[in-house]
Amino acid sequence: MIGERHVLEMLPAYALGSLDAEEKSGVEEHLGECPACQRELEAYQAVAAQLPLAVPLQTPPPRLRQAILDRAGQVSPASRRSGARAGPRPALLQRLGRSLRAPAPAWALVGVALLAVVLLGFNLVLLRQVASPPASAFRVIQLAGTDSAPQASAWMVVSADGRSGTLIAQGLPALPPGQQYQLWLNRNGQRASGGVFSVDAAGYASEWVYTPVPLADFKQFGVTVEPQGGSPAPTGARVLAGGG
Amino acid sequence: MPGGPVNLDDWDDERLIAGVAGARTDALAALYDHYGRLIFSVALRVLNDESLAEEVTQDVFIQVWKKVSLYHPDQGRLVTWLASLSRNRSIDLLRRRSIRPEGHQMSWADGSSPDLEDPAAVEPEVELRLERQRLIRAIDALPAEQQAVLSLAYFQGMSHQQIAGALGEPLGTVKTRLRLAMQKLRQALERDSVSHP
Repeated sequence: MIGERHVLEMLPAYALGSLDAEEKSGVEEHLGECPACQRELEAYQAVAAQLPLAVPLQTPPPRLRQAILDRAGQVSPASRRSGARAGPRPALLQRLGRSLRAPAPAWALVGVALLAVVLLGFNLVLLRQVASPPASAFRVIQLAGTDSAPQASAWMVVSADGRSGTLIAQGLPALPPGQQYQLWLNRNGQRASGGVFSVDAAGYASEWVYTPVPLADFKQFGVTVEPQGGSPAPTGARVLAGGG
Repeated sequence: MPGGPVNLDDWDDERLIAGVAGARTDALAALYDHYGRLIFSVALRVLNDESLAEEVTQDVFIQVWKKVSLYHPDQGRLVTWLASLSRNRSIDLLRRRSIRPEGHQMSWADGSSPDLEDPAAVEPEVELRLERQRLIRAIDALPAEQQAVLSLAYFQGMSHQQIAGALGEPLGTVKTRLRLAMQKLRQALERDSVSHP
């Protein structure tokens, strides 16, 4: 039942981004533990998503179309699939490739596999479908969004020697100032922090992960919302979980 | 290409996105033909400056060209994703450059907008045009003061407090108007989705 503890009256404004920081923080805290309010929020987010369709339509100058195509032509095919591209944020696979800086020759195989994905123009989702990567090259573990962040998903790519890896996350809500996401690693019931990170406006992040003990030893991974800089142990809502 | 240029006018979103992912500039051009007018209109609505709106529209399409993998159909339709990119980028620009648009536009498209009947309007899909009609009629049915706060919240990215300051209205009044506007829209759109599944 929806009771007075819920934040229903604030959800329409939350969906529009109109709450002040304190109100927003309170709503997010509640959302982390209330599936009923999360469902309500989704309904208002669906309304907000449609609002731009009601804008009075204006006709852009005819030159705009060609200007876009000209700019696209300057983004060379090579820069779309490798690291040469100029732009505010490197693409997922660029970052991944840059992050996986292990010296082991096996990384060449990783590079080939990832490049193949880019060349084919595949969606990020297909990363998990990379066809039978060599068992010795890397291990990919998928993390799924929890009820607190149902749109989120992530991949943990562990290097061949198991000592390092990269977390790639998408669909995570941007957090208010003073909060960050924190990665947690679990092995045999022992928990360790994998570092803190923030997402960009599109809900995307890629993070280099390194632990003193082999990363490959960890079987379970999770991400929670924590105060800026992280916590010694999870305190906030869990948004991603996976492993096995 | 054997057989000459391919006509992409009838390509649906999925094929267009696949084409863009495959670095086909003709797919990017078709994507622009489908949604460029809307993207530009959203940016212009936020920025009230044609030159800046062009800049944002370019940035949105180049972002798509470079990183189409950021789009995931399970998170919403392409048109709303593109429109939100335009809105968010425009509001970022407003804030980053401390731009204050000349006055605050608070109007929405009204039900008599000629573009709704224009067969060459931005949406090649009839379904989207109908959806746009239903949305505009639902907004049209809101009291003017609710339309105004909704517009300032969405297109200017204003908080309750900022809207109250801009309109000279009490904070509580603004909160109530915004909440009622969203609740009524939700009801209207859910009702429409039942009668037009």
